[in-house]
Amino acid sequence: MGKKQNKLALDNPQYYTNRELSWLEFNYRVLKEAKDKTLPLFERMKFLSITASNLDEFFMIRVASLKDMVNADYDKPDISGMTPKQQLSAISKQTHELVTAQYNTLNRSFLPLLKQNKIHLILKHEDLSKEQAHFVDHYFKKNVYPVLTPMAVDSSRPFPLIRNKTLNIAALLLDHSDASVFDFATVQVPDVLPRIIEIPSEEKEVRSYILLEQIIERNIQKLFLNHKVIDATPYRIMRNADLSIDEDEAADLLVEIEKQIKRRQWGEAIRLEIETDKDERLQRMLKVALDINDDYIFSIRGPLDLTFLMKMYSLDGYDHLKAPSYHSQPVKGLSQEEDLFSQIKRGDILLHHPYQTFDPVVDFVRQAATDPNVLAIKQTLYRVSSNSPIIASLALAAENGKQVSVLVELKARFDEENNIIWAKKLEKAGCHVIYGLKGLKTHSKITLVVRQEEDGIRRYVHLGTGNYNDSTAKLYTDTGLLTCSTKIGEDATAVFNMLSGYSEPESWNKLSVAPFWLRDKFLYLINREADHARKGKEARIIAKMNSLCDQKIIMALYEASQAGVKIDLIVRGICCLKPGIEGVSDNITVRSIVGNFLEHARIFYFLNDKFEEVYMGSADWMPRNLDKRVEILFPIEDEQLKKEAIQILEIQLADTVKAHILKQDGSYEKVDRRGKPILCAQDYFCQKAIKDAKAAKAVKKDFKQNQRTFQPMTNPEENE
Amino acid sequence: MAYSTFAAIDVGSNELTMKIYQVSKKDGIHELDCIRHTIELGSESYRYGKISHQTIHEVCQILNDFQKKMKEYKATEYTAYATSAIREASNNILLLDQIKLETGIKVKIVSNSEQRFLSCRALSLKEDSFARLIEKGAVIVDIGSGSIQLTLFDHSYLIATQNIRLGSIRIRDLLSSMEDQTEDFQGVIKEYIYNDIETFRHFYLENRKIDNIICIGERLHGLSYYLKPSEVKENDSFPESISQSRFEKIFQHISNAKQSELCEELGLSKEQVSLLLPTALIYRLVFKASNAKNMWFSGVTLCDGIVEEFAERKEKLLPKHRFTEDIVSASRNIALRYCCNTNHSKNVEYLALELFDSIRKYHGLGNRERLLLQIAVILHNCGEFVNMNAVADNSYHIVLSTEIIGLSHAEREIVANITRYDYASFPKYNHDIHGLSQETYIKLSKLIAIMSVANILDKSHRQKISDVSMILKDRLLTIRANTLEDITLEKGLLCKPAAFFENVFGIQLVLTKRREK
Repeated sequence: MGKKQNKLALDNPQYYTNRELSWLEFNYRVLKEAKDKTLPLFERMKFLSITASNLDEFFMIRVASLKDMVNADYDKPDISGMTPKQQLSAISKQTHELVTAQYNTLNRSFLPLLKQNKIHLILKHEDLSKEQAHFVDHYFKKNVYPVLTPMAVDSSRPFPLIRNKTLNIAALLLDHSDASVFDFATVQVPDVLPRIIEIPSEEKEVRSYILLEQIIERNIQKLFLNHKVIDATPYRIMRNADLSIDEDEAADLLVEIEKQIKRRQWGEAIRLEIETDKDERLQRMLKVALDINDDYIFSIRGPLDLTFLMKMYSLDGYDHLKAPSYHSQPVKGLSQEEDLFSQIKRGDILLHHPYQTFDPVVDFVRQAATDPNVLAIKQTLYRVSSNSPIIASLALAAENGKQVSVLVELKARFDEENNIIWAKKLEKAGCHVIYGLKGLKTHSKITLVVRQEEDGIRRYVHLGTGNYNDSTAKLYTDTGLLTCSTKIGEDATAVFNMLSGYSEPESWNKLSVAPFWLRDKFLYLINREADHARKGKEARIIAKMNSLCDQKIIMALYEASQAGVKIDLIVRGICCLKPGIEGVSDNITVRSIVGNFLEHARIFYFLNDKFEEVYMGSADWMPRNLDKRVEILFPIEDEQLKKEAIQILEIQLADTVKAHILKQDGSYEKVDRRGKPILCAQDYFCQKAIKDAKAAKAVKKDFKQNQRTFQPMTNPEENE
Repeated sequence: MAYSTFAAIDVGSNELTMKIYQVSKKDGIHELDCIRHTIELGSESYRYGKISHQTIHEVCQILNDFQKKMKEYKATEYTAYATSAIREASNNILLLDQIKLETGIKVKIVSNSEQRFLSCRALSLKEDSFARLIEKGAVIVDIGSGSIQLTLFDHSYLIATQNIRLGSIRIRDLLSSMEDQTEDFQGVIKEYIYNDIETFRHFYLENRKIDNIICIGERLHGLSYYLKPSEVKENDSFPESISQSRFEKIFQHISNAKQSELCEELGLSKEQVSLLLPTALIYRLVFKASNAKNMWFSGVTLCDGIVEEFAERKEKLLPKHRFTEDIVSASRNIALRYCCNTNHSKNVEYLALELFDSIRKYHGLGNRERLLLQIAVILHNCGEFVNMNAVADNSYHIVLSTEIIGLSHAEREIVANITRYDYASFPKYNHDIHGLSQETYIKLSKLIAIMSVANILDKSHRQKISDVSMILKDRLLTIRANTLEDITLEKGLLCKPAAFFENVFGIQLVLTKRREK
């Protein structure tokens, strides 16, 4: 009875943070990086750009979904007790503040700093010199004018459809014939042209840039010859983009998704950004035409769509304003010369990207494609890079007569178009392609290679926390395992059998699979730790993930904390758990690491009465991961690798540079560094990977020399 | 390569299963992959007596997928068996032909006794525990969709086996129509199957101590959910067992809970749960009848038996348990039932097998035929149980309608025909024996020739000739009897069957008495 009361208390909304507000907190942490004066300027600009694209996605998915709920009169409160309406109004308030902070950073910090560094970013065409103006006008005439499609609105021409996320310029026109009639016109800033254009500078050594919309705005009169342009302003709208496909109705999933992509652009407008200090009549006209509430109109003090900063980042010649680029290092103990399968056979291999290169994963599939002993390759693909070498290898493997099965997840957000192209390409090459599962997103990252060897069939498996995407593998921190363990191999086979529509296996050896078994596994692991604590044993959980918002898991963590388990969470993004509540979560700490690389790995550690267990996987502790996706959790069992995995967690817990600590009120602050060494986990791993690679190289060199000459041993201390 | 990759396919009543195995002398049998696809062939076949073409088309699609899977492992050899659903479909021959044309896979229908025998063989893969369990007396309960098979082992030998045409799907489908007419749904099921199990008990279980029930068949999924993880020991090949009292508790729980509750509790579909109660009820009746202490879950499937058979055929595996002996032992128990387990038949058995072995070079028959001959001898007089006259015809009918575990229907027909005919009555080919292929006819002729000679040698029923040596030289077989008795009668009677023998094998027979020293 006592326990039941306890449980009742633990779902008290006061113990939870709303996930949207927690997400906004995350974006603030990214913004903090943009404000961090110790970072090189261009890195800071990149972070600001990320906050902008993050916010775009947030509106398109989360705000849109909340609006859908409000439209449907759905008013069930979330775990923190907020109804969709309440959430929307809190979000509106917070996002306006966030946007103000974004532009303060741009206007007050970046622009002066750019100037100092002899970069002149001209934000208003009025500021152009005569010579520059001439250049710009010529550029307009030659490059821009031909691709513009101005559209006027009057009684006979309705308001045109403005495409999602595009930048447009609205113009207020006065008819030459009738001075009392104002007309509205709009023109899209073409996305086929570069947004940033370098223009001649007045001073030597200074480089000047202007944004495309300013060039158009300056020349807007040329588009409406019979009218007088009173005012013109850039604006941008965001629409509902959450893809909710009714799979039961879609006879052919592929066709349905293709349809949805086209339709997505015409969803309900949920945000309007417009430059301030412009004619009020323009804003009013847009508001009416788009049917949008004041709460969702953002007056912007500066250029719209800050993602142009990312494009500036890739401009040539500013390496001194960027952090030195890091090159992924070879994996410790892995030889490029020997075939990968023999090396895996000798023992499991742990991969830590991007510190270590993603090449072994690409090579795994590439070698399998041409290895005469390989019979079959199976892989799940969620988000693939364009021109993916993995796709090419899979196609080659099929052409080489191997049995290739690929599950291409079409429902991967924003990547549908890309994925459909690859899926069709693979099918053409003779692969067996599965287009996802009804009602479930396949988020697991697993590759299985079946190989015929001297002593029988052997299965090689790669399991990872990140997507099979060689581009993002350079930016996302992820971990992976290469193994030929029989038990994991059997499970991998069972996973693919299940994905191909066969009955589920009666039991699993090592892997835990969502949506059916994973939640129970996590709850079991957490509760087991709590049981140890209740018996007076030392108990500890370290869990690293992207997001934590599953109520059942959080309740289990609260109970474990009450039992005395020491719990350290490393949650990069959303965290609905509140640490440090007396009697509920005293023993829980939460930290978030936001750095140059996007923290993406999921690693789970349980002390288990000194029989330590470490797991990695594709799932966050979110309801969608545990209930609506195919996810895989895999154990790290090799003692040495287990140590390495634990070290990854420990270093992150010791980070004093990029770590933010979650406070009970839901806000974050940087680690109090007093008395602690300065340690940046991401830098540490970079350095460690370089050191390991160097050491391996030295050994190899040594080895080669040894083959040629005798090497007299010297006193090791002399060498120090 | 030192191993072969083999695919075993089970076209079952409830699902299609394929298991891929790696078989080698060194490591034995190792399961690589298992895929299952639910398709209720049984429902259709039991209800309408045939299977529609749409359903078979679906089966073909699944089998085509299976073939892709076989390619993944380069499994070139396979055996595909169809069980009761296809067996009982009136259009089964056409269906198999259609499957063959559409998929290239040759599916063979196995008789119930072959099928159950394979399941028992599969059990022997878990050799240590199996040997341990059958030593103390065990009933193997194989609950299929279409029927139940009870097989009794005692002192490590197979004693008897009985088929009850009442499987889980059949019970459910039969009774679902009655469900709203009665409060006591369980009572109805119990009434339905009680008599069969009681008969089995009466014949075989009285005065026998049975310790264990071994469960095979797919339908125990639900029950096995009740096993506590603590009861599963590592490295025990039969890890899962529950005691009688524990079973009783589980049974009470299952019978009192609502279907929807069970679905939630066990994480099973409604369809799976609907089979749970009939299954549990059958187990309970067997518990009651046998007074067993424990129930063991083996988890083996037909596919495991198929691969065991393959491994033995390919001599990759020495059988741990001698199944031929089981078949013989089961036959002896049948003989016991018909009171024909006499000294005479033992003597004839000895003589027939001696004859068979001494002319191996000339008859070209194998161990399987030797087994059929042995069973025929053991049962050859069983017709006497019905009527002292017309023994042969009655024996024939008894054998034909008695299930002998491990024999296919065709094999049982051969055994029955051996008991029916002798040298004198065996008809000319195409004369009377319809339906027998030429090949079978030749086989039968040979076995009947041997049988007739052996039978005549103990015509007196006094076992005068119980020790012989046989010498084959230049197509002359000398049967040298080591006996003090007068064998004039035998010598005299031998000439007719010997003539038949010579016709069949081209070997002359001479019976002599061993010279006394």
